[in-house]
Amino acid sequence: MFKMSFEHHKASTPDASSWEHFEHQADIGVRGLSYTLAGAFEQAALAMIGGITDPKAVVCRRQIELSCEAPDVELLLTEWLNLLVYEMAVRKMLFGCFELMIKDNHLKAKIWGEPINRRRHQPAVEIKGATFTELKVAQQPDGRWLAQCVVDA
Amino acid sequence: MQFNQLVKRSAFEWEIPPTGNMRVPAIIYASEELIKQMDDKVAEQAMNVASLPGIVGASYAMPDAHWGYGFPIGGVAAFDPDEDGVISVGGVGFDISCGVRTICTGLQRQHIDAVKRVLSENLCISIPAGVGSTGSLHLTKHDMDAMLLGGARWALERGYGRPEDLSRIEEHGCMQGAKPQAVSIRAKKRQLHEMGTLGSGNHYLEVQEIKKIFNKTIAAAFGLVEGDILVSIHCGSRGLGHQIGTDFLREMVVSAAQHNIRLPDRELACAPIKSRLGKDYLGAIRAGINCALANRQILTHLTRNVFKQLLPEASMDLLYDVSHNTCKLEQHFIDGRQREVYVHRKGATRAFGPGHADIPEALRSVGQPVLIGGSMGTASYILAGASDNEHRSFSSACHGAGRAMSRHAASKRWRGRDVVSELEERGIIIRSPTYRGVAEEAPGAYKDISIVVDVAEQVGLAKKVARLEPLICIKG
Repeated sequence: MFKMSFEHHKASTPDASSWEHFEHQADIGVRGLSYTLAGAFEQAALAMIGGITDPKAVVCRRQIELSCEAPDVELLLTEWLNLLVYEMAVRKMLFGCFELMIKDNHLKAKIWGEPINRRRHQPAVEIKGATFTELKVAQQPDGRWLAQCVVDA
Repeated sequence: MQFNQLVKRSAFEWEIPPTGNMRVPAIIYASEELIKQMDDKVAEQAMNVASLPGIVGASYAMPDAHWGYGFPIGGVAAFDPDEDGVISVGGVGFDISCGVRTICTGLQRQHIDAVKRVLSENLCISIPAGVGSTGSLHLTKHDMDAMLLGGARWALERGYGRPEDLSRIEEHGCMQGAKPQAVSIRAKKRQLHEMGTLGSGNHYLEVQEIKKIFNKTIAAAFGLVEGDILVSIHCGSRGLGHQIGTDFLREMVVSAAQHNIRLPDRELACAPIKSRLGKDYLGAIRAGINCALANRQILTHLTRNVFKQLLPEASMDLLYDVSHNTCKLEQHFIDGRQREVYVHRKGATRAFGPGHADIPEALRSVGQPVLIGGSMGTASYILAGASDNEHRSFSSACHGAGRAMSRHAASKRWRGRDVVSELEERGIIIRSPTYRGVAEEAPGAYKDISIVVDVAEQVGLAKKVARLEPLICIKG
């Protein structure tokens, strides 16, 4: 699967990478921060999962490999999150661990998760899709990459 | 929202005159109180919509408008295909044909009180709801395309519902012009096991009591009597609609430049109605509408089965089914002549006034039922399209209360268990697989729906007919 020699970005320290939700009146703003672009995308995915359930409650026992591409890095973020939405929907799974490689607007990922357990996960809402609202992927003055958008829930 | 950019045309009508790239004005229907509650993004988004090619009349925002994607939620706009008009994913949304259907049970409060708890439990068991739920119907590839072409008629042919239901559904239960071939394999795959499911978030099935009749004449035509029990179902086209939105949003953003369209906001991704992409999207939306109609038809059947077991005397006649996330070809009188335009309603309900040919004959003299969903602890309303609303909003009205705070803020403020307990004390039984979901949907997270419908009536969009309060709410 990982035939191309992508630079492998992974968050180096726990506090270098983080995710958060930002305010959107109707839905959920998801934001990932990391010193690498791939790390920021991983964190954005955790933020999206965090809109559904506590990502720490997801047992990462089954691995899936995914890939996608887009004309630019911002569209790549929505493409990536929408790919996760699709995989969650058709596999009836939640994911809690992500390992990404990104190069030239191509993304390859290994993701881990488990089937939805409604009693344990208490999933609040299903995500309909990632939107272009508040979509931004950029390196911040502190050197960290920011990857964010609003997801429709 | 700031008042300085608004020109007050009347107590409930605010105009933003065309500036910059705007081709038409933006008009917001709201009271001063609602304007104060609205995000500035509503004005910004309504102005962006006003700049799209081929828009006619004005870009409208309904009284429940709030910050959406591309269009504001509560946004209405019409586009003329003969003037390079566009069709926009941002004008329909991800949940294509999300809507409300209301069933008259013919029962009164005492009938429900006798079986309320077991009724709530049986509905909870029978209505698949929440993240990860699947229906009992699993579609083959052939079934999928037949469903996308046939809508509620397809469901009826498979034993879900009654023949007389069709006349009480928009488009008589089947949206013509659907193109299953324009719907992606991914979208169809998401729907294989989701027929007859409620979904999550703000979707619900409620057993409601009519607490107040405002207009006796229209209520009589609708068959509504104070104290009667209704069932309302709020849901849409499930995973299929969501994926259609995702697929076409991406394609229209990428191809906008090829169509010489400058997008003020990528979420307003659109294509000329007459282009291949525009036609494909229209065909896919129509397939999505049929999916939503079939879905609500199956849910109606499941609901009737539950009532039949416990309350066999229930009549369970369909009052009406109307969507609030659509784009439809309609005829409207604009600029002194009758024109065929594509009306986008994003979180806005079609509200044809009395006499319109598309209203069921039995209801035609009083106007189309407009079904307005509330939150699980407050009221819902039944309105009727007002007779002279065509020139105000292309015959559209509000669709719900609209959120007053984000899901994130709501889950911080309330605990799901507490919300369920508090509502139980008020006589409202909540059944949901998720307490966190209940917290995010707490009644306090929504605006006061009464103010929204009052404005809709005062501005002449629709007439108030009945106020409903929940007794049982099944949440996803």
